[in-house]
Amino acid sequence: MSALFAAYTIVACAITGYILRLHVVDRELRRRAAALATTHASAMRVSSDLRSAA
Amino acid sequence: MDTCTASFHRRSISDVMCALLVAAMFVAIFWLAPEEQTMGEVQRIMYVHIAVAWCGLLGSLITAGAGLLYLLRRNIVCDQWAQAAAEWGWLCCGLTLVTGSLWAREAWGVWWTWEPRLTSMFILWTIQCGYLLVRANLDDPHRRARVAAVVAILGALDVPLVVMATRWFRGMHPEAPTMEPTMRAVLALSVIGFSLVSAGLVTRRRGQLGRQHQLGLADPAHSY
Repeated sequence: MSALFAAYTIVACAITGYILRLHVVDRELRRRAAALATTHASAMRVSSDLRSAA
Repeated sequence: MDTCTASFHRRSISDVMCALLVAAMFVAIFWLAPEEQTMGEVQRIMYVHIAVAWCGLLGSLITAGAGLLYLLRRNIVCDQWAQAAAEWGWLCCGLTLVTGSLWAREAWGVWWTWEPRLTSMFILWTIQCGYLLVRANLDDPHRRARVAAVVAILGALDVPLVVMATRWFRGMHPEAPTMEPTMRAVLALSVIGFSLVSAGLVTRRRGQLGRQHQLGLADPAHSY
């Protein structure tokens, strides 16, 4: 009985861990994409300011 | 409804369906399947052991297939599929070894024996470890994909050996034990359920790798 419990617990923990890792990577990718978009937007603003100043 | 919201809804529906399927599998394994007379309760390990072994072998074959496609077409999407399948295959092969070891302790009285099926599965798992190490240590995406594809194809050569080990060599591992129809049905449900959950998770991971490539970012998974 303890072997059965151990086997199913280990499988459940491993799969839960994999799913949690997917969530964490998803969140990190979203954060990095948002940071890239912000950098791009400010670069565009600076470029437009420079063009109007010239 | 925009594309992002539609994709989120699709993913939520597939998550709920996967959860329901896993719940049905557990009900079938612990309540529907009859108790085996010789080994008793511990025999129920078989339902998860065979399912994860199947997913591990399939993961290895998909990795090799996607690697071969990459070598033929030089399309990085094939390499992303290979990586996603390899990560999941590695986890499933590891779980096969662990659940098999727990079952062997009860059935044979030993945690491990260098028996043909166990040894060939262990070799496959070490090849998968090597595959992931190769990927983690090469920076150029196309060089990484090329080297990894060769490792994956070499690794897949071990899959027929794992499958046929009980027929080709003499060992302790049972070949194809006779089972009651209910046991067979529960085993089929378990294998199908695990395969669908695996397909969902591998597809999701491939999506992450695709997004990461589009953004030109390093794999955030390497940071964890």
